[in-house]
Amino acid sequence: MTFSRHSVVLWMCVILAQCGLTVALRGQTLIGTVLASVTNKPLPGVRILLLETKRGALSRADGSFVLPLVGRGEHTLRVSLLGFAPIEERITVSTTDTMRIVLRLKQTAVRFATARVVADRIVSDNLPTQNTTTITMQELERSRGQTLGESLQNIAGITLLQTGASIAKPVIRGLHSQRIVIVNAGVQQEGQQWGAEHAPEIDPFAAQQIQVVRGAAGVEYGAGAMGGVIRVEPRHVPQGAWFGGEALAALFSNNSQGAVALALEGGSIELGEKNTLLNDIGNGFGWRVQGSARKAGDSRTPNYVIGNTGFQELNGSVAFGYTNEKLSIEAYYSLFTTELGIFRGAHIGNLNDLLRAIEAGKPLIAYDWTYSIANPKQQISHDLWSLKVKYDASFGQFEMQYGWQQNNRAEFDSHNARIRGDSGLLLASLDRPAMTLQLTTYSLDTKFRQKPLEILLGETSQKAMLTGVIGASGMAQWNVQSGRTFLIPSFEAQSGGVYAIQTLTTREIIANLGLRYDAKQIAVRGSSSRDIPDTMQAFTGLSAAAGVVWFPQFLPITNDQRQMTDNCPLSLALNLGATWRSPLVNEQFSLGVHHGTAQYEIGNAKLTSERSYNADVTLAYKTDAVRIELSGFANIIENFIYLRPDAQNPTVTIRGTFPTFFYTQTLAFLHGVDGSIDAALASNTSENLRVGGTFSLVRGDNLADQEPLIFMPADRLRVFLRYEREEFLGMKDIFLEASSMLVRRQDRFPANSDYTVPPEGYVLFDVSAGSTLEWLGAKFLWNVAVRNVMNTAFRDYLSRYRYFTDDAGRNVVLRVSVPFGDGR
Amino acid sequence: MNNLLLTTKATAITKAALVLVITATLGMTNACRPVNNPTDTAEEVLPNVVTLTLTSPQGSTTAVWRSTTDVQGTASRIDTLVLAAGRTYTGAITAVNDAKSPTVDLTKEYQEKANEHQFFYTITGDAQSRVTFTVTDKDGNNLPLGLAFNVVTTSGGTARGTLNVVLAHYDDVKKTGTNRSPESDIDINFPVVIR
Repeated sequence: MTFSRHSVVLWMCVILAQCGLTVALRGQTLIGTVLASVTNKPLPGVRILLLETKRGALSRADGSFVLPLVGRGEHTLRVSLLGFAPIEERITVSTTDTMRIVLRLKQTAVRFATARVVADRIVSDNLPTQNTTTITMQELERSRGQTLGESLQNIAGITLLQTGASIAKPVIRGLHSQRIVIVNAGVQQEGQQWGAEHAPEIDPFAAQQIQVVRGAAGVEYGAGAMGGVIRVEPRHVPQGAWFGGEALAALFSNNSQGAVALALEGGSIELGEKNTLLNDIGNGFGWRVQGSARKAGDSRTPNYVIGNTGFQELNGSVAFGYTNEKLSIEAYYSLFTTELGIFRGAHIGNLNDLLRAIEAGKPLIAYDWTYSIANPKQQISHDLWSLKVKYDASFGQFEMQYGWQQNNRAEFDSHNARIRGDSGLLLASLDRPAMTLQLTTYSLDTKFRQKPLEILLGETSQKAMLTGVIGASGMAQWNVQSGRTFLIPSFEAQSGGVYAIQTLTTREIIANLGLRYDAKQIAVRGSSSRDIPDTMQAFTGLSAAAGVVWFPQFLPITNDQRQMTDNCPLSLALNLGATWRSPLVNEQFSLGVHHGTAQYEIGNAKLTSERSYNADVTLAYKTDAVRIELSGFANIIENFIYLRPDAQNPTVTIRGTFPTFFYTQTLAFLHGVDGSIDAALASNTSENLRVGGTFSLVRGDNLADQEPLIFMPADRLRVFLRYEREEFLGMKDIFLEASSMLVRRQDRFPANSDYTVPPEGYVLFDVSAGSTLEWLGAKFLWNVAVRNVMNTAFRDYLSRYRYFTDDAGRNVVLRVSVPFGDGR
Repeated sequence: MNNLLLTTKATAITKAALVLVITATLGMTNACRPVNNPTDTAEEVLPNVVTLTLTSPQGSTTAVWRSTTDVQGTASRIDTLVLAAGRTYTGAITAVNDAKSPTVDLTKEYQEKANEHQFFYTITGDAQSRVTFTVTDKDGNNLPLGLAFNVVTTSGGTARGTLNVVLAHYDDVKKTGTNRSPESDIDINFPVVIR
């Protein structure tokens, strides 16, 4: 199985590389960029059609597109994007080689900022009023080689739940795991998210951009999206005559990590003679193949080695797409594999062992640094196939996405367990997993986006636009567990949902309204040794969302400010959302000791669904010089599922006495504020000095028990000073940045739920620099970063290793990427 | 020209690749059916019964610590270890899992892997000053193991206390004879009374 899967990828690479080679040999290409006329910002999702050949392309996130040309002479391009005035551009082709062009689009009667939001929605599917942050390709470049979670950590409202260097779970406004949704390449990630030490199985190297939605998004994403959504978007498949790619390498000093990645992409296939239908079809094809590998040894704190925290990853993806004027099809496959060590000192036997480890203040053993990964460890693979079809009809757009994913997880114990195999013999079994889980998920999402409808508002001759989407999705999955350690029982689940969203856009407001109904059923296979009967449960629920963004028009418009006000710099958004999730199998059927935390955890089969009511207010002011965003949120969660300590009844087992925790439900209230600022201190056409920061404050309360919720992120503030210069010493796009992260000690925590008080607050400093360098005819994008410059010893409250060890110390990171081919 | 040849060849391969992607995607639907039954291929065997047997010419005593039989079982029987004052006992400890059929004798395991195990006996409470445990057996490195031991009680009145029995398991920590490992396989308490 594993062999065939790898060989498929390998073959595809070979085949596609050959295909790309031929494309590279053909010439006559139009390479263009589409910009917004006022702001000069790149426009993604713009449809460009060459009228003579009826060949089309869609612009990418950076506004670029590629079209094949046929012969010299006059050609006409039709360029269109919702919210912008379509243009027809005559071009004269006098070359047989590559030709470059820049196109500018003007916003239509609907003001630019609003129109852009509408356009964004069409591209990204988000409810336009929702609080969303996008990490672009350029920003991602600076965190290449790190985990998905780490790529997100500078966003306001996001913190990390970390288990060493390799496991980082994003926490959105205090919620994580089962309370947020991660979407990879359009398909909702269904991995093993049962514990804090189970990280999302996604390769950030494959991402073109990552979007984070803060707040309930249950209408679009279904049950589970209570805290927010993280959308990981792979690069678009190119179209037209195009061959390019990117090679990347990164080195990290702290754990002696090396990472390499390679992406190749190309467009168009010759299916027939020129100017024939077959040839036209062939021109609509595009492909991309991408792979990455990482290997790291043990992490180091300023004073000692964190034993057995190395990891290795091997990931790849292949995409094939076809697009013509009306139809777009994309097939995507990705594979994520990792093997990672779990810090040995954190794998303790019982409570006394844990208390001794905490008392020691550092690992009880001085570990030697190594690349090798010993037990305890995890081996994980995640396969994803998806097929996406979009069709533009005269009355709207249909979209369907089919997904198949399988997650295989094997966890290995630290000691030579005495186990009995099928033959009844006792075996020593370090190399047999203590537990395996295999989760297989099919999903089908269908949606229809209605054609935008223009409405005339009264006598003011103001126009409004009504857009919307209706959709249905279904999912079937099953999880098979085996092994001597029990985490969750095997189960089968099916779910389905229908939803509708309508959005009204006028000059001053965007308003939307959405409704969704979901049903889920789950059949849990019982276990006689665990005293779990076969159970069948069904859950249903409604999700709703309403939001409005107001672009105040009271600012006086002077000629100087015209450009600024045209962009509607000021906006105020209010979002209300209600959504739910059903209890997970681990919350219902856990029974036993959780080894990282020495807790005896007891599930509750009678748990009911959680229901959340979320309100979010965002004030934003965005110009080229200053960008400010300030958000406040409140989230009431009914039947909030959590582990409640039972101090009176510790569990006495043969391995010692453990504190007992029951899964139970309460009324929880999470609220807080977060925001960001990025302002130019001084700037001219070629230089720029910027200062800014982000901050996050989350408060979580258990209202029923009148106490704080456990493991809420500590308050944090990140500030930065950044110098940018267009050109210096023959280099381009130079930047220098210094930043500092200030984290306060978490002083809100429930009594009797933890073995030690939260760690002290800390201050970390980072510096980085980078530029683009032309050398030997190639373009090198490089950057050097030093994280934790002062080599400060610290422990984060949300680090799962905080009982046992400090977090990692200074880390010098070097990254170089080389785009090649048409990608330069 | 060469280009043309390459193009034709590549086109054929590309077409094949496209077909492959689509069929593979659809094919997955049939390829992976749900597996019905979870199989406990191998279950970890921990002891559920620990027995202390103390013998002396004047009389013997035993104490049993038993937990329920599921894997993470909780205590269901904890005997009080009753000792006579002013006596010397020869002691032995056994650990078995009698929920399995046949019963798994883990004592033998500890004996065989003596270099990786050590039992620790600690008395607390009023009885502390009245009882002495001395381990008498050795592992291959001539370090104490603790399956066999002597117990000496001094004369006097009634005294109560608690006996803590720990089986330390040495994986990546070297056993020195006096150190505890960070991982305890057994950690149980018996009430103790000296009469």
